[in-house]
Amino acid sequence: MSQNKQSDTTESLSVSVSHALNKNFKLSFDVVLPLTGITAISGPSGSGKTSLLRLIAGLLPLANNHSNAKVIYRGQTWQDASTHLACHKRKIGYVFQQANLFTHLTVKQNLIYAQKRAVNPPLIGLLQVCELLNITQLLKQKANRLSGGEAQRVALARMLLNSPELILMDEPLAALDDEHKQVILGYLKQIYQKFKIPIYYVTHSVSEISQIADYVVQLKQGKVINHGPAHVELNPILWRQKQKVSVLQASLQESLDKWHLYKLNLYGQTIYVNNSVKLEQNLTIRIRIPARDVSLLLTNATDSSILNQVKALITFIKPCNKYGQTLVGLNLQNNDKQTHMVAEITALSVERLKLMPGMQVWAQVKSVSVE
Amino acid sequence: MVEFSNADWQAIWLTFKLAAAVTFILLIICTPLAYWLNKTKSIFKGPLIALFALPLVLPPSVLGFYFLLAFAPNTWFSQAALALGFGQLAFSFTGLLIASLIYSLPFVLQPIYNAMQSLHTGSLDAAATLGAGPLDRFFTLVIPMIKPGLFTGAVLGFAHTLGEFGVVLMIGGNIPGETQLISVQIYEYVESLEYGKAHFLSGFMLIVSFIILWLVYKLQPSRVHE
Repeated sequence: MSQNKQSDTTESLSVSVSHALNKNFKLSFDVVLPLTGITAISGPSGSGKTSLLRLIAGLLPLANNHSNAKVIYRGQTWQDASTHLACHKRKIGYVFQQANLFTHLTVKQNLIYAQKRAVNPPLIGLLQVCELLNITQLLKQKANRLSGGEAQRVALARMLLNSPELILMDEPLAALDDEHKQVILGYLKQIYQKFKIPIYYVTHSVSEISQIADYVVQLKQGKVINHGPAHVELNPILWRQKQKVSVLQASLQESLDKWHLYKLNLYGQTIYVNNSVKLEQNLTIRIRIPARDVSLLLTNATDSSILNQVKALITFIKPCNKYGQTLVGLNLQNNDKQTHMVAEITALSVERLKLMPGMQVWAQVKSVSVE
Repeated sequence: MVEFSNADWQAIWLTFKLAAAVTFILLIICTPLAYWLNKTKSIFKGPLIALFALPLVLPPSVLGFYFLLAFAPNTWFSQAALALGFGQLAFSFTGLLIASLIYSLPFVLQPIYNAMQSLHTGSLDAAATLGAGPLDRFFTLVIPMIKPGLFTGAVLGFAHTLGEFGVVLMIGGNIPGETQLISVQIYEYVESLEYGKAHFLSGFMLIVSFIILWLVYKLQPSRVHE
């Protein structure tokens, strides 16, 4: 974000590059990225996501005479016109699309390989990491005998045992089926919460971004077209998808055990969610509201079974498809641009209620889920 | 019953000594060479690969002829060898060794080079991100991963040196204990019509070569899970 430019360089990674990788593709951007939380790097295939990650890792071969690349990590120059810190000297962890295990070694030998070469004090022990990622039973196996999901879990364990300071992940779930994707995504969240190591995560899956990202970088044709905190950048992306949803940040106010509900604070208003997922105090909770599950009322209904009702200001009304559905932008807090959600209603409803931007309405939310 | 003469035993010992030395030295030379050839973007890569393949196509007599010229006492090559303490090259074991190294080089280089080409670069990238430097990666990953190529190269180099004849005849002559290899010894017997002795030595070569190749293919590491 531009207003963060003057911020502390010790917590940021700055990457600037202007380099033609081939005749048809030029990498060209200049961004300062945070070194906290999970940063999602998204964009269509061929937009330069992997190149950005490889540039940070020092794995991108750049012809020295035509390249102009600068990578500064916590104020330390990793790469510029005269410097190129070799990949093995950058304290990064990298998880590739393929697991890239050493196939002539066993799983355990793969892990020890990484452990022996760790420079920083260990984050986690070998047995603990195996337990965390559920690979203990694989230790004695040859690395080339594993399934895709197993291999990727071993690759994650190997990366963690190397105790990196920055984790780079290049679509680590791409080669996996949906079931394994969710399992590993769960592990990723755990890894971040446990170790608090910044993660740069390349993906083109919007659902993965909405589940884990704290910061979003969008690439297109080798250029960064957008970047900023997830709560600002994420919703516009989600609203462009077919299944439109809004992701908002809330905090836990009270646990209503009797009703199996949590009472959340959503920008000063109240939202109830089911307590099936364990929530913790003092953590930002991400809730997900499908646009189709939001209906609008002109007055505060007191005779509805729907628990969740929030006051909002209409910010925009626009058709969202050719079947008469209309997308209504709703601001939950007058003075803040980051508190938007959307409702998907029929054009007829818009007509009947005479909805207009600037009007105050009540939004009934039929379903809310915690991410 | 014909038996091996002392000269025969000497020729057998010399032949195996030469083949073993050539194989050993070529493995040490060709592994880094193949690694470099694979990675380099130098404009000399193409010409060098062609140059190293030349012994495959040239008649041994052509190679032998040039070696003979190079090994003449007054050339810079011979002077350099003399200065380095290798002694005289022509009609000596050292000369034979040098010639054999060049003559057998493509047979060792090619399989190693091919193995390097199909090397899984993803694993090497992964190792780099884990903090393994270039030498570390070479010894812990490249060498183990190209083992089948090294094995094939070693066998071909050894077998090819065992069967060497043309070059030896041109530069080595027939000095017992110095340059008299089995192949030359057999040639001598045939020239002097001692067919019995030629039979015996030829049969020995046949059986030994067969056993070596047979063992080698039997012991070859499986390629199934590469």
